[in-house]
Amino acid sequence: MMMKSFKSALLFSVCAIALVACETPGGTQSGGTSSTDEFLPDDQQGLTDEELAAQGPNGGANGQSGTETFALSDCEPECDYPREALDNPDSLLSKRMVFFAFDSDQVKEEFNDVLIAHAKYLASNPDVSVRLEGHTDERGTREYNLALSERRAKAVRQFLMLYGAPAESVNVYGFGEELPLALGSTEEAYAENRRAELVYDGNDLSQ
Amino acid sequence: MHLLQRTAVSTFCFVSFLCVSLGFSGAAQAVLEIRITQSSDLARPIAIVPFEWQGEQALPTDVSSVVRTDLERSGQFKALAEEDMLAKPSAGSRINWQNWRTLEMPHLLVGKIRSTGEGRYAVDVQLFDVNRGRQLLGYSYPATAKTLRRTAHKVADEVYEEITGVRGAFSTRIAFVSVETRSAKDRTFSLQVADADGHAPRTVVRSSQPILSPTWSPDGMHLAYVSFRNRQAEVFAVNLRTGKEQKLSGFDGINGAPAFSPDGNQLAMALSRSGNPDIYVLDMKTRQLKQITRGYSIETEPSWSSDGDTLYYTSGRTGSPQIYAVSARGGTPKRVSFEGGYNASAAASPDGRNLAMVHSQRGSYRIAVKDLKSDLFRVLTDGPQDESPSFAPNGQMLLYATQKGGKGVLAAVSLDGRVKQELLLTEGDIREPAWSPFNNGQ
Repeated sequence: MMMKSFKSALLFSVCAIALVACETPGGTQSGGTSSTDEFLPDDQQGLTDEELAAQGPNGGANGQSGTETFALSDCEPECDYPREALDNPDSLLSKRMVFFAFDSDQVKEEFNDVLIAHAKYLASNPDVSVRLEGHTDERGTREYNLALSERRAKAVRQFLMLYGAPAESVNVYGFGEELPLALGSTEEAYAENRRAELVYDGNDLSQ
Repeated sequence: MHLLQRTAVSTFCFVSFLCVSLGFSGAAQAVLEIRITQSSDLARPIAIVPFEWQGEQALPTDVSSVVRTDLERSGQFKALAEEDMLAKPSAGSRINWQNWRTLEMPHLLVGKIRSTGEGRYAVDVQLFDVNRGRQLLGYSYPATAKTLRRTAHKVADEVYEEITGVRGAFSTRIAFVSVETRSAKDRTFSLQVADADGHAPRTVVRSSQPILSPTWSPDGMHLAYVSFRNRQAEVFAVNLRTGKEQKLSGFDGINGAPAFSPDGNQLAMALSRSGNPDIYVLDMKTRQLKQITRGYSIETEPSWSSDGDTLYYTSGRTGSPQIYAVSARGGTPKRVSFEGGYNASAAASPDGRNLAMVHSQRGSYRIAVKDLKSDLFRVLTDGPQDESPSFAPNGQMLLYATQKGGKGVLAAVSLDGRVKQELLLTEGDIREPAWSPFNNGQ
């Protein structure tokens, strides 16, 4: 008995440490890295923090400190993105999810800009690769949903390639209904779970 | 001697699974409870007298109680309450037939458990036809403390078959997937195996990534299943005796929906290696892969007919899923389901006569059965989230996954829809049930 509770405590500690370890990079991402790491469009280089903050609707609005804020670039979504643009929380590239209608693998028009941005990013950075992970809501059988989720990811790949992403940079994976983002059996949860996520290695915003 | 060795091996496996379980979760074994939610009005009355045991210490298993629970759970029997018994004989020589005829009990089961040495027992049972005053069955089963429960299931199997003419499935097992969700990014998936009555669930495979679609090999020794451990759907098999795992299919794209052929020599799967998911058959010996369907839509969820000649599968070729049949050697597919706009996940009954499937009407997913000879289509369950139908090896019950209180639970329904039961696990969501074949690999 003693042994068991000791073991549980030990396991708990290990898990706690693992959690802390996982928290750190996530915190860095949402809190913003130092300004030198960020992608600043050419026309905004050299502006002061105050000037940057005053420019855009996002300036300071997301609660970040002044050093990390600046306006959206004029070139989006069709920029010639530098590699570090992926870390810019104000770029379209920070959006990594597209959502689908029930039982559909059609990419909705509202996600065109986001996907064009990612396509251009991949075109500008041919050494970067992205995982497209498709998901479904819980309705319907699991294996059928597995197939449907892969079709969603493939539809996104098709779109990215249409806008210049190299085929070899885009990997497609179907996860079916197994990893819902939202729990519960409501229409809202279903809508949130019918998605494709763009996952860049080592750059998982989890957003 | 051989039998003893086998027992020792399976006991060892159980212990190691238990350790794995404790090591990972730090919690005690979860308990599965079965609740009968609807019984049949056609159930046959039977009197099961509590078996006599004169030992000083209580037995680890109440054998006659397990027999009674098994028989009642089948929905085919309704056992007489103990307090209504006028006498409690333990052997045929002490039966007063009039007592049981007065109670209108057509069948009577009596028994006695004797000690035959240290930790060894003999379970003597007799089944009687009360109206004729005639013995139908008489067995003496040797048992140990560990095998008493298994013996009870054997007794239930014999009684069931003697009276209904259908082989009992109480000695079989079920596999299922249980999921503990701590957050959207932190889950534990466990592939578990339990006795058919939910007793002794044990974890066979555990992963932080999804596990789905477990399916039994016909010899009861292996489970094939889909694992995302490498962040993509691949098919693995686990040996239930050794716990050893083996990757069976890891092509690019989806490797899903595994199903062993009835002779165990082939594995049908859905693979999307050439674009859209299609049905393939993998020869387990030569490792040769044969493509069976060539669709431009989703083709998945293959299920073998009991003679191994036909594969039933789900196809989205008309825009919504429907069941099709194709020769297991390939050929022209034929549509099988025409009822409503959604039919998927077919399971062929062991006698080849019926096809169970998930049927959706107005967004409610239910288990339905189609009689392949008469085309009679019956919806057996109430939905709204019923899926993964799996036949008992004797074809009498269908096990399926459903939801209750926002939690995944397993449920079973008799083929005539009269008997319904729920299997409740104390922890986690349960889903993806698969009923084992008669062979239990032990």
